[in-house]
Amino acid sequence: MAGAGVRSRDMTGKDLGIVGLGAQIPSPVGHHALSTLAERPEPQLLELAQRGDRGAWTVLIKRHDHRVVLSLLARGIRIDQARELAHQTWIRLIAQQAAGRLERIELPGLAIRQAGFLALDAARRGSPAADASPPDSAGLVDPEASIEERLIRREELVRVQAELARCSPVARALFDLLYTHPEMPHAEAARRLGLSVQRVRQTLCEVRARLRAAIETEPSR
Amino acid sequence: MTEHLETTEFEQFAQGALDASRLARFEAHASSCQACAAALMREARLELALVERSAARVARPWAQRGSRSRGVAAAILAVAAAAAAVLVVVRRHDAPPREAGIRSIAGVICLAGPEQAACVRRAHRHGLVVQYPDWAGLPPLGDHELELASGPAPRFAVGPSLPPFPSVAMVDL
Repeated sequence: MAGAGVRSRDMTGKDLGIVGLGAQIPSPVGHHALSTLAERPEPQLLELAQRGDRGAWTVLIKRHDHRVVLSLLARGIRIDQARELAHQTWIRLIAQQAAGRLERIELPGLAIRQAGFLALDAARRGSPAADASPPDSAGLVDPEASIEERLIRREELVRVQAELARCSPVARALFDLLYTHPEMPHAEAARRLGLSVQRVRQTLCEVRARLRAAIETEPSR
Repeated sequence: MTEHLETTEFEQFAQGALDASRLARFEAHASSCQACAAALMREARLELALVERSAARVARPWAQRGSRSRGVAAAILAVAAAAAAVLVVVRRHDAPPREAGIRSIAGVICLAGPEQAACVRRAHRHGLVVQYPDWAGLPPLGDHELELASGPAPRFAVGPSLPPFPSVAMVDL
């Protein structure tokens, strides 16, 4: 959905018209080149984004958009709608930054919270009590879902931890490695752990199946 | 409707490992197939749990091994449940009367876990005191730290819920 225009509002509800990521993040001419920006550590990129560096925003969006989409999918939102909401999320954050309303940028947390708001707002708009303007996360509003949802997520995390604890040390080491370094290719993980790439993939597949089953078990209430 | 998506495709999507053409096919199918959309939701939840687990390992490496890890996780659940219970009480009772000479400040309960640090930062930004539900002693309280450290133990009373924090208490100093 990237590139598609969406109608956007600022925090006061003022209509910003039809905007798209392309309109919000022009080519980073006059700013830092994307190739060099992509190699910078996260804190530097966040600082640049805080100052309105469009290239930094582009790199950060590329880096964190997937997590934002996953957070929406985890709420049961359809993939096409999740893409659209993620798209609107970035537009809104950039608009807030440009308006000086972002005191601090922390990603992907801030984007996930904003996306959560937009999702809630979209759901509310289906009801007669819906407000005229969507909320923003830059102010006080708590991003997170209800406490019940938090508890469910926490329970899922606990189940994942417990199931992983029952897996072999090699399997645990593999997950630790790959989730601490998400950019690491399977071949590199295999080399570090003294496994074949085939074995790495097989282990990932087997363990994920166990974790999936652990999460899908009916919550104890 | 074409055949359902494969488990490996869900896994690869969750890990951001699908190439552009497979991604387009995947998303087109998942947008229109209810069963695959549900499977995608479950895979997203699993992936987020794994990411959270990794973040927690980095943030709290001392609490990651064996039964200790399970114990900590159980404690987190218990604390979260307690916080939820507090919230219910908050909504059903009026704020307690204040005694002369006692001033009340808003406090926030920040649950243990990967979100705790962000919760604390938000609370401090808004001038709110933080109470860590799983912390036995007094928490660091920003500007109020010295005052609390040298004075009597604060009375921790439940007050009205205060957006954006769902679990808010009033601390009498």
